[in-house]
Amino acid sequence: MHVEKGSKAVHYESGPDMTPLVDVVMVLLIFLMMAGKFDGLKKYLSSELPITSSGPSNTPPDPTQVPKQDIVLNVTSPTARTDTFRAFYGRNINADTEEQLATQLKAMLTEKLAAGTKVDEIQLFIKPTRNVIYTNVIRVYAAAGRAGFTNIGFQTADG
Amino acid sequence: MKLKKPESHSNHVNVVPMVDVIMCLIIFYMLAAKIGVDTGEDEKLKIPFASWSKEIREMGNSLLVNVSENKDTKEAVITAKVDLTSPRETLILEGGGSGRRLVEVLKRLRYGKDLRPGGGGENADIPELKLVIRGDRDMSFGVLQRVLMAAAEARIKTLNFQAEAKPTP
Repeated sequence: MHVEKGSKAVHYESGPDMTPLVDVVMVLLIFLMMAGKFDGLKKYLSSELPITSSGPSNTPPDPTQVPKQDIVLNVTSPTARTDTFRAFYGRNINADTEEQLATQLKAMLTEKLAAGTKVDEIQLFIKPTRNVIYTNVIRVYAAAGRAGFTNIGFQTADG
Repeated sequence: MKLKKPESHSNHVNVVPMVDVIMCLIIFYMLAAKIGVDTGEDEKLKIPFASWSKEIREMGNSLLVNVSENKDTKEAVITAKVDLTSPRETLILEGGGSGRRLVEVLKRLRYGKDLRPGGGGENADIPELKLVIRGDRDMSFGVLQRVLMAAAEARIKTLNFQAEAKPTP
């Protein structure tokens, strides 16, 4: 190709060269997409009550604390290692599904609230037998939470 | 004087919009993605579904324990990432087996090196210590009960049971 002497090469490009920037940015993007983990927010059932033993406590009650009403909800598994459960408490609660239990617990709580008891003064203890599977324990816990109980804990199993 | 609009003689694709979009994506990933965060969760465990649960945003001062049950021996299998720098380790409840005892680990975190209330520095107490239980949905309550009793012995007040949101039918 013949270029005339004295003539100036025409260059119409202006601004910085973006190619290296794009390269680096793409590498960063791919790294973040591969290495990043999106958990979302985990769900938790939170309890502020420690597990308690069955039967009367030897510890004298704290005089500064408001006396609590304890409800001990027994949970059993009709047959060993099954996906079904039965929850019962006195004559008020006798349920074998989460929905049924939530409804019965809600009715019982409404009664107690109507009688003047505050929800903070009620402690609900879940007392499953040892063979009840964890998923059913969580179902009972969720039913109690849905019913409106705020102080939910566990009690040691006997059988 | 009449100005003439200069003609564009560039043969290249205009990459500026693409760079804008990519920069937005990078900022999103940098803010939203968790990189190098390991709380010690055992992803193999199938945690239970729950129809009612809470979202907890602040998980400081907490220890996550993975709890499951050995199908053959019916013994508890507990793992946790106790130290940030060390890998997940197996913890034992009592009796035989190799590994640190869960109750001792909990007491150490709760009360410091001296394992008793009071003290400062490495013996400082953490009253707000939380125990996060990531339990296998098929384990029996008998296994969980022993973990809860260890937590009660270490005077841990807050227990969080990890669950999955119930899938909509």
